[in-house]
Amino acid sequence: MISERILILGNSAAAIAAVNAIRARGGKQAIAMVSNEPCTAYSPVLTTYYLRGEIPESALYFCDIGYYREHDVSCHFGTAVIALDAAAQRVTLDDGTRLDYDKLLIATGASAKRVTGLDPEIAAEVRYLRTVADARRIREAALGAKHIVMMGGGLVSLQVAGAVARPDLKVTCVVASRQILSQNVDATCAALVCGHVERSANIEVLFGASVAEITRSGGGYRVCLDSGAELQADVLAAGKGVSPNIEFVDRAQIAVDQGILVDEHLRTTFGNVWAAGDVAQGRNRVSGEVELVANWIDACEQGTAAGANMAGEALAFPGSVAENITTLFGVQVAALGITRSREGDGLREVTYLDEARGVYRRLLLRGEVMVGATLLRDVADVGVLRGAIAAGREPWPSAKAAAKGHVRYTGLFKAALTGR
Amino acid sequence: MAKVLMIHPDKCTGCRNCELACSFEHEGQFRPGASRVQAYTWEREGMSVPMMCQQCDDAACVTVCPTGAMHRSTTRANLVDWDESTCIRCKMCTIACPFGNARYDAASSAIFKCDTCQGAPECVAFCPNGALEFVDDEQQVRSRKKAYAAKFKEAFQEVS
Ligand SMILES: Cc1cc2nc3c(=O)[nH]c(=O)nc-3n(C[C@H](O)[C@H](O)[C@H](O)COP(=O)(O)OP(=O)(O)OC[C@H]3O[C@@H](n4cnc5c(N)ncnc54)[C@H](O)[C@@H]3O)c2cc1C
Ligand code: SF4
Repeated sequence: MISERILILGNSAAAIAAVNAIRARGGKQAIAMVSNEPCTAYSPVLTTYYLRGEIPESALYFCDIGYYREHDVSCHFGTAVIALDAAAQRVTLDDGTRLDYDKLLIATGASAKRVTGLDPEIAAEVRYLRTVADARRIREAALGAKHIVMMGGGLVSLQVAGAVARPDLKVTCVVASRQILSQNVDATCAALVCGHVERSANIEVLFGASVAEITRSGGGYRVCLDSGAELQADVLAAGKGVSPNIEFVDRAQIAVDQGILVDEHLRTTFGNVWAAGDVAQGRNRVSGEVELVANWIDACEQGTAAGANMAGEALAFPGSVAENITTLFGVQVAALGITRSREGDGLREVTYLDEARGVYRRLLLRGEVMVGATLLRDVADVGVLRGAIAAGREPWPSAKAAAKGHVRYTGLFKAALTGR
Repeated sequence: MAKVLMIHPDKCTGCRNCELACSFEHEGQFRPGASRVQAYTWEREGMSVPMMCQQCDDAACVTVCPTGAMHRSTTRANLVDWDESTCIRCKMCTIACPFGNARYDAASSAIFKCDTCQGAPECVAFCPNGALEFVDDEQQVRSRKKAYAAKFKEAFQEVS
């Protein structure tokens, strides 16, 4: 008997989690995997550690070639998917290979959004950080550089800036909004982080600024801002968020909004096609909206659920949670659930600030339940808070106490132990 | 036979001796914040319970760890082990555990999770009330632990 053929597009968090879930269930399906990168699976999360010189490149890879052998996966690495015909159950790769499948998982993740409005030749020279190849390129570019202009002030932009800045290499971050990390944290938290940034590294942040034009000048670039100010740079970099890798998806076959739409079983609108990770758009557990949530933990969890479902077990995915924890310039920052409150959203905020210790914590509540948390420096209870936010539980014993200290327990524990 | 930590909430008085024993064993100091076991107390309900890593079969911290530092031990059964040298302190594991049983400690830049003291847990030795036990991993114990975990899982998914 010919075994069922599972094809997985992508070779990162979601894809590997799916393989693990399928094999953990004893599945004997023939699994094939495609990745446009030539290497075994690595984590984009670790690229900033590599850029900072904290780990060697070899430490980025979380699967070696033996992994694919042990899990009986046939690999098509170094070739991109260029077309998917879901009706014909066939994928075409850029080297002409055609792969037929019975079940398909799309886990092609996301790419760095490109800056628009620049001269195409100059635009092609802007550095982004997503892949290990990107990390190598940034490292090389920074070697002889004196001034880097970074477009963007988000997590990745700041991590890159922090990694490459040296006493003899200045990074200027051109940030459109009035604060850094505008997608992740509130203005107070951002201002505290920004203080660290400017104190601890050769980094300057320009707020409310955007690039009008970039021209060549000497061996480098002249960057003209909307304000009329001009900057001289020898390397250009940008971090403007990510967009899902879905170019090969035929929208007439598979429903796409910003990402590939998935139901609670990570199934797309086409029966035998699933999607997981940064490429998928499903329900956000906290906001209730169907929206893109792109983070490593979510990709792992979605990949696990998709793999289980593809292996025939009906495993519902409870929904995504926006979450991030990172160290910026020596300070821990965590953002969970809803972290940006808007006028009229009915959310209540409870904050705690200890300037001497540099600790800032902010909880957002809808009624009695927690819907978001922003933690600066004091992050020891991040898991408990995330658990309560994901489950829609109350802080305990009170929101004020929870904001102030570690949440030693939340309503989640209470419910489990007392049944209330 | 492999052993597992058993919790008896009905016997816990919330005295937190386990936390002191644990922090002393691991860090050489009496610092509850450095303890891998946490004794939680609900004053109004009048109940306490010691909590530590349950060494889950399907551990979220292991699934999300991008370096493999958090891993299922190959040398000891029933242990999710943390490898200090390959860990890059990204703290993903600390987000993933909803019970806070893997925590980041800034003072020592380490991930704190129960390692059962390499098979001789100090919390068990120092609990004056028998609320913690280190017992053979028999079917009966397994099903009790499973029921306990299921209760948590249920609470966790209740509102989702
Ligand atoms: C610098 C940086 C720091 C980050 N830090 C954090 C963090 O601290 N916490 C956090 O939660 N998240 C972080 N992230 C985000 C995290 O890396 C992603 O959410 C996660 O990697 C998503 O996993 P994925 O499996 O969906 O896809 P990806 O990791 O994007 O992988 C996509 C896979 O698909 C392949 N692929 C793409 N297109 C094609 C194609 N056309 N044909 C064939 N193969 C293709 C790629 O080769 C790759 O194997 C960070 C990201 C970056 C770049
Ligand atoms: S902090 Fe260490 S053990 Fe935890 S997920 Fe990151 S690398 Fe793995």
